[in-house]
Amino acid sequence: MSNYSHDDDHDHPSAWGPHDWEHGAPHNSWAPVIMSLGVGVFLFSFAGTFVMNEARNGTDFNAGSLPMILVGLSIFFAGLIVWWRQDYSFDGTYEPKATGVPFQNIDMRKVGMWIFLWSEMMIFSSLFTTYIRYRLGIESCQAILDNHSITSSGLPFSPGDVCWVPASYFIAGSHSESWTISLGGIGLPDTLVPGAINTFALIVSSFTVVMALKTAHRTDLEHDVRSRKVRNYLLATMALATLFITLKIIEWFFGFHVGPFDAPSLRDDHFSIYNEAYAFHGAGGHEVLEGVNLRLSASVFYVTTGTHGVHVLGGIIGLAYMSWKAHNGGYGPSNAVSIEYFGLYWHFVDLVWVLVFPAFYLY
Amino acid sequence: MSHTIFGKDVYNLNFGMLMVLTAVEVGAVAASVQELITTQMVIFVLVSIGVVKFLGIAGVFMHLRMQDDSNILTLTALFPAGFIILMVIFIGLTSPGSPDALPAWCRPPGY
Repeated sequence: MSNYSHDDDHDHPSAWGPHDWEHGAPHNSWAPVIMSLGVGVFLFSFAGTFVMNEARNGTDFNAGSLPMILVGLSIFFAGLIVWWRQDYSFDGTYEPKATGVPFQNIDMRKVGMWIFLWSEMMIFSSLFTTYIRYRLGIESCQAILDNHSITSSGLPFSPGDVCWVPASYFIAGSHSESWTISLGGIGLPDTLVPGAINTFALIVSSFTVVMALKTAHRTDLEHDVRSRKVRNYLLATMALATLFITLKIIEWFFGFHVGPFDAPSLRDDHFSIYNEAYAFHGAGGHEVLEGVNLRLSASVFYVTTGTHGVHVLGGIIGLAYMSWKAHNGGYGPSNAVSIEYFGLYWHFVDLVWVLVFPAFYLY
Repeated sequence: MSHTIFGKDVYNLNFGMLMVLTAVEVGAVAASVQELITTQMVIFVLVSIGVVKFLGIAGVFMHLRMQDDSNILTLTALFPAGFIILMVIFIGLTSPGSPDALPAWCRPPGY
């Protein structure tokens, strides 16, 4: 923190860079606009890359969308170059402060991180809105079954009918066949164990990030000792994040068959965006439903939890770099804001899981 | 950086609270699965605990409380929150029947 002064009257930094940081941080840049445009073109094009083929119950690859995908990526990388061109001359000797209302004198990177998190809030809110809309707007398959006895006259469904079954039906449902954990007479289905472990893992990882930051600020430790402790806390966070992703993959594809636990994967339970045969418990007993369309239920679950998983994966990449930096003594009492700002991101990921876990896994 | 409540480090307290509340969430669902409590009760428990955990993480771990810039960052968070409220009310809580009712331009090819 030093020598920061900004002279608005005499310094007019280019929106395309490079920038003279002697006059403070630049206020103007086309990079975010260009990159947003590129991401928009990419996503709209990417959405049409795989087209559902009802005839063969699968997807077709649509090569026609490739040119626009490349255009979108090109625009995005052009924006990235503009950003790099503006920033590469910064030697990091001071923490630039924001000057615009209402963020005057708050660290610019902190403001940037919060604005990023607010945009992330919009993304996850749109996913939750989708979940609420479909969950409330589409009739529950379970409710239909519970209200109609399964008799020889047939099921209360016609092939192709759309109804909703929450992922929690397979994860925390009373039909689960293996109940290894029981505390005080209350059992926990094995299918819920990976999700429950993940929830605790994320909370502990939030705490280890806090401890890394607190340790980096400690002045009573030798530099080497402090660096080692910070690195260890960051590595612990990365290990917990890796555990989260691993259990997620196990839960989706392989099933949790560890020690006494015996939980089928969601794929084994036919909970996917393609399958059209699901095992249900109705009032009349266990029945496999053929032809009922549950793609929306599965899509909403996989897109939401998958988007969250991608954020965890991004966190692992960031943690790998920060652990390496801590190992080389890169953090200290006067240089720990990177951990703080990464911590904001990581706590946000935890925050989203606080909502995803009850909404998708428990209810 | 050092904040305490009743002589205890606020971050340690928050961490302990989050762990206990998560255990209560899982326990409530386990009880619900075995029909020891009603679905309405478990929804109430999940929503209540979710709100408390949300506030604990955002307020303490993300420093939206107890720092000089906490208030302005919290207030500006209301900007996206406004959009989120609009989205949940006017999209999330509507029930148009099925996705097939969406206009063609709003659907991917093949739907």
